[in-house]
Amino acid sequence: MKWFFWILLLFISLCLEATVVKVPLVFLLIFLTALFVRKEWIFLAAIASGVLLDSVTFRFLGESSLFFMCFLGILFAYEKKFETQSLGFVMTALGIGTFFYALFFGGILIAEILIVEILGSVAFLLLQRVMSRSESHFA
Amino acid sequence: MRSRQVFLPVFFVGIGLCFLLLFFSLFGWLGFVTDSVSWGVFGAGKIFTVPFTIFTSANQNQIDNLKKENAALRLSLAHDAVIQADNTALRDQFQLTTPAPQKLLPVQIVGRPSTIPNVSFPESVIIDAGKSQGITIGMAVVSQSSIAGTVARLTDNYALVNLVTSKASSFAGKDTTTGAIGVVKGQGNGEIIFDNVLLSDKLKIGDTIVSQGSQDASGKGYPPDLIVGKITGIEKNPSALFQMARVQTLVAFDTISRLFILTGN
Repeated sequence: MKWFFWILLLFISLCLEATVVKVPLVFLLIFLTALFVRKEWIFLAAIASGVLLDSVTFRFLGESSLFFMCFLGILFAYEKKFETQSLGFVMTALGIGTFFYALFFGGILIAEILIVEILGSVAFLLLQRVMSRSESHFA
Repeated sequence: MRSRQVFLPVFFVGIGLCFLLLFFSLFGWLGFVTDSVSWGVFGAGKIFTVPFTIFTSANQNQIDNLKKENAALRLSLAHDAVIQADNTALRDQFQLTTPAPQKLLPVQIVGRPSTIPNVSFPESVIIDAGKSQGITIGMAVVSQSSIAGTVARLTDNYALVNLVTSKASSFAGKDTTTGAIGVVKGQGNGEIIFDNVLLSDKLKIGDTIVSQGSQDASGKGYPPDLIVGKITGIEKNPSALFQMARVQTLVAFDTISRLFILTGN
């Protein structure tokens, strides 16, 4: 069920990012997933999502995957040095990530960074609440 | 992450895989992946645009039937409106003598990848025609007699069109009233300038700027006398070598749904 929900979210993000908005929704989805699901398969998911994204945005296949992989690599490398499950970290990481994403794949838009920051923060707080509730339920 | 010993090999294998993908993609060996995915995603994107007009009610059968009928009629009206809009666009386009109708291929805009609606202006659009329809990179795209842009990237069934307003756009143009020549440059965010115009040449607000003709031997590029837009402002500095004018395009790129490609055959 979780997988189905994640794939559905990925598909919606892909459709929106490819046809309507420039906001890096797939990047946001990968980032939030990596934050809560610290498993190796997230790298595979990042590569697959990147390939799908490149296919619909007329980039060379592998460009987005490489960006996602590098970002996840940095994120996981620094997870012991920073409190990654905090709103401050999420906002900082998303701001820097979106800035570089816009730098590599399109023009820099302040609105783009702002939208990702707001969406990311809301989604992070919601996910954190859901996670803590499910943990207390099983305790 | 469970341990750094597992993390590092997975990470480096992933990075290697990305470079491998890039390598194959650069040589065009993964075209089938791009085509299948874009077909699926753009197809689904079209579904999202269909308005939801189905009403449900469980109280009375008659009301149910009437509502269903109403919904069907609304759908039919919406469908008719789309056909009418397409018809008007096609009629307008094919009544024109420049460019010649037999050289035009009508296409539908299926995506505006670099746009946040009502916040940013599109730099490029995705159209539902590609290599299979005989389109090649560099072909000019028009809307009525106005320049829309050029084909920049292609897959079998889709193409990316760089709009005339994008920063990548630059070609020779001329003022129809005074004959002054210069370079038309896209500035991004819906703006165009008519630059490198000699100070001795006359420019006037309201003048129409057209293409001077930038086609190559294979017919790619803009033919002469296609409208770029009208002058809305002039910047003239007596100490500078050239003067510059701001040009407003006549095409509403954020709302237009149909364009035409100059195929040249």
